[in-house]
Amino acid sequence: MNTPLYDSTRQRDVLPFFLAIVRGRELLMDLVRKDLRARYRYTALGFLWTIFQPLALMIILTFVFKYVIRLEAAVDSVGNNREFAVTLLCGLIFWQFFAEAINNATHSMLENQNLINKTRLPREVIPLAAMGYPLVNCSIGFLLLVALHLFFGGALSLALLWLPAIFGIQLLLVIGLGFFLSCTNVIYRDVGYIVGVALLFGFYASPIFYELPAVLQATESGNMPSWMAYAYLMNPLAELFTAYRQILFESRFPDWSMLIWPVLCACGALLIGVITFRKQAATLSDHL
Amino acid sequence: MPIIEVDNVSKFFPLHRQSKIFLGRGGPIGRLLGKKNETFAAVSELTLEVEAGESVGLIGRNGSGKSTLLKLLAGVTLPSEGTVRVGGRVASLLELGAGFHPMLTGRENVYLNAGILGMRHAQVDKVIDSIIEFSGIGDFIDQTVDTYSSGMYVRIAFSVAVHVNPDIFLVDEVLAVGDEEFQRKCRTMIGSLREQGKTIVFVSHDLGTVHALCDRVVLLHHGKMISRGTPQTTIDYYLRQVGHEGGIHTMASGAVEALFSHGRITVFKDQKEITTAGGLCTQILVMGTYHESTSADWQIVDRTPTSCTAVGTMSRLPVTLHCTVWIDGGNICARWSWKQSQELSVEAVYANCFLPASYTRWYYGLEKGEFPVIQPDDLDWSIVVSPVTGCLTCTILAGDDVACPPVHVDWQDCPANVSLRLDNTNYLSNARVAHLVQRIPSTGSPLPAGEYAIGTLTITPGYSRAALDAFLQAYRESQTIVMNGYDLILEHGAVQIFSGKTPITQSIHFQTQMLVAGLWNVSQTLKWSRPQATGRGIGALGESLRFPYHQEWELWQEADGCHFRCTLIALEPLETDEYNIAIGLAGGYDHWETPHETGTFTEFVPGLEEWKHLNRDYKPGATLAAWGVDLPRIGLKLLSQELEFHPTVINTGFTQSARVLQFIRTPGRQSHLEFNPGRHLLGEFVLTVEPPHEQ
Repeated sequence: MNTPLYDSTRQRDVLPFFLAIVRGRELLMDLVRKDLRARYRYTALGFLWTIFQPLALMIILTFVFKYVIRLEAAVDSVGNNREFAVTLLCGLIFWQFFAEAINNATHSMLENQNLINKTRLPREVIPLAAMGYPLVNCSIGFLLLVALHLFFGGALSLALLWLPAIFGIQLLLVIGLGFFLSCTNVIYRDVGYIVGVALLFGFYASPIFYELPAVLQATESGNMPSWMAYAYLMNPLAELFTAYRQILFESRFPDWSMLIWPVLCACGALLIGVITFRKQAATLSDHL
Repeated sequence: MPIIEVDNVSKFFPLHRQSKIFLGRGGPIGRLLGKKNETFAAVSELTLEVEAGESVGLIGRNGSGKSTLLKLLAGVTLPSEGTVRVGGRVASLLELGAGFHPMLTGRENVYLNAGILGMRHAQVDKVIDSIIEFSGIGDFIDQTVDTYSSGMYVRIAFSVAVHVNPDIFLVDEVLAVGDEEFQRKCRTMIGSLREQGKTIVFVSHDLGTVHALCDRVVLLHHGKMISRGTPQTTIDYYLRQVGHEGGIHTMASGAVEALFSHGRITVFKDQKEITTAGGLCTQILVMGTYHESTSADWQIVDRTPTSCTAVGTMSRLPVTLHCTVWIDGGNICARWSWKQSQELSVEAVYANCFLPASYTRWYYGLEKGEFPVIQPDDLDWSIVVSPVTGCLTCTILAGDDVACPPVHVDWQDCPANVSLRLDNTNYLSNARVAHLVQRIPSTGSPLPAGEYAIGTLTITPGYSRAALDAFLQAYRESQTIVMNGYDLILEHGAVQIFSGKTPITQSIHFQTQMLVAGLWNVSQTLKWSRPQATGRGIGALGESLRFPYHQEWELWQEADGCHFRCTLIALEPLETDEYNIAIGLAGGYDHWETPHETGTFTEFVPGLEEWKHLNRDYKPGATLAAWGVDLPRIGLKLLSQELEFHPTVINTGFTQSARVLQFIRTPGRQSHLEFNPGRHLLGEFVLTVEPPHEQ
């Protein structure tokens, strides 16, 4: 046998990762389509549910922070007269993508046990497919965001062309984390619980219903110790969400310096995620 | 060049999976603390090569590592040590329908499933019609699969797997699911894949299927390969060596050997297997489902070098099967019965004796013949010889040039409603079957709890020609009276008359009929014993399954003809409105005679099915006769004159086309003929068969 199609000793190599994704692209699309169809079959409103979820969250958070708590940032953040609900939604949809994608990917292997135990499909497609539905959700949410932005008198600019690049950074980060978590969760089921707690934590530790300048102001005014601000900035989502808002609301390119850390994080996560995944994926069925 | 190479492969699994916590054995911190997880080897240092086009069976007890090895070949997991190399596209049927989603339509699932097996959309587009057609799902293909029955589900999955067109098929017990018909279809399909030169690796507990489908068999035991070779030698080795626990026992005496293995008996003579892989086994049919004796959990409760008694517990029925096997001289005997702990709607019970297709001839009852050759397109069993009433004995022989000893099969101690049939199996099993069928009459209520006999089987391998001739002679004599060169054969409540091989009687033959409680009870529907010698002639006892009476018949020859005496044994007081004794003759008879008149039989008219009385005078009388061109003259004379009979002559309908001579006894002025418990003469007659007069 000169070139065996399958060689057990090559299954942990890292490079075939990309080949596996290219080869499995149709299957990936099938799995995503299956997920979407299965979710909306037998529902009367179908895809409308995708809009209602962020909308409802936006309304209740606006109610709480603008009218009940009267958050300074909510009433008039950083002195501009932007509508709070739209600012909030901008953070909300990208956060939701992050949280849902990470969460789905983490549990994807367990949910597809029967595929993993019984077939030799490229394992890479499973966590990726789990991110498909959040991605669709996010796209629809983004259209909603643009619509509301225009409704409240905002304008669109050429700066929007930068948005895919920023989203690309977030996507790589999510994929890297997703791969890492999906296989570790099979081996240690604790990971699933840790992710749940971490995401709850992350919702408040990311600039969603407030903005990054508010955090920086708090340090400058001495209300917050400076180490806390540094720790806060370790969260790459802080920079990414701020970049989205700069593009959409301030119609300008995001600060380059601000993006260095997220890019590093994304690359690191991807590297660790892919290597861990390749080392573990081929024997996951032993743990299921 | 091997297409599959397994090189020194081991696979370890942790023994304590539940303790995989951070601090425990095998956990990340536990490992640092030096708590290593103990492991066991599911597969151990195994080396195996499979050539392209080979089909290899993996057998072994549960937990012997068959499925793990298959998973390693399928690439579902990696070996802990060693390498696995596969040089072709693989379709693994570790489980049919893995990856089906209930909320998608059948068509969507086909694409998804084919994608999982490595097929592109464009490729599926080309074969989708063929997939749907093979599955036989029809228009349901566009419904969501949650509306499917499990059978439909499995059919689509199998159909997809076959159409993926891989080089290598890995099949794990897939055939155990689905109904009988689907299993057959799968087996046929796998057989044809094999003919197309596909490589097949096959795991099964069904040794018969492994035997039929594999070129080579590998036997695993505790993860190690302990034997490999031809299916026959490896399966034999497995049955003798590894399985020597639980429900397995070998018996031997002289040249004869028998192996009881989990509800199946295999017979050996001179170290050669006589039965096929199917062996001798039983089946119980309950609510349309066949429960095989081989699927029960068997325990040997008593064993000696020449016998054993085993009890098998059915997993899905409240039934235990009991089987005692012993060797008696050159015979292997097996007594089967079943015990049910609660009432159960048993429809039928079968006992099969499988012999290889090299057996080509049969002797059964007074008949003999040859088995048709089983053709590749024979997907179903076919009946070779229909049951002969009251005969549960047959002899099956191989061709003269084949060194297979003649086999004599004899069933005894069977309950009512049992018959023996000779069958051909389908092409894959390629076997002859002596098929004992016990139909449980459906009385509307289930069979109550209790123990029921199936019967005692005696198999004689190496039955000699002389023994067969003697048996046939005795069998024939035991039920035949020869008069003027004509054979009068008593069989199952009727006497048939033959001139050489030409039947003289037809339709009803010579029989009795009693009208009890408004129902005609024909002697042929009674449960008859085998005819036996009575001293002066032959006799048989028939038992009514419906009313409390028996009939005893006796035939013997005297100077004036063949005497027939019919006695009623009433078990309880019995009333009959009327009874008769009648003989149905061939349509060639054209003249009849009663004591009062003579006449000719009329032609049968197509479409006219009504029976027609031809004599006008119904006065009592004692003689009846009929004759025809080149046909023996048949005379029937009443001897027991104290009983008053009315002779009558009847033409049957067109379909039966028989001439009937009949003596009827009616109650006269009374309303009923009454019989107290005890013996009563129903009538004694003389039957004469005289050669036709020379003209």
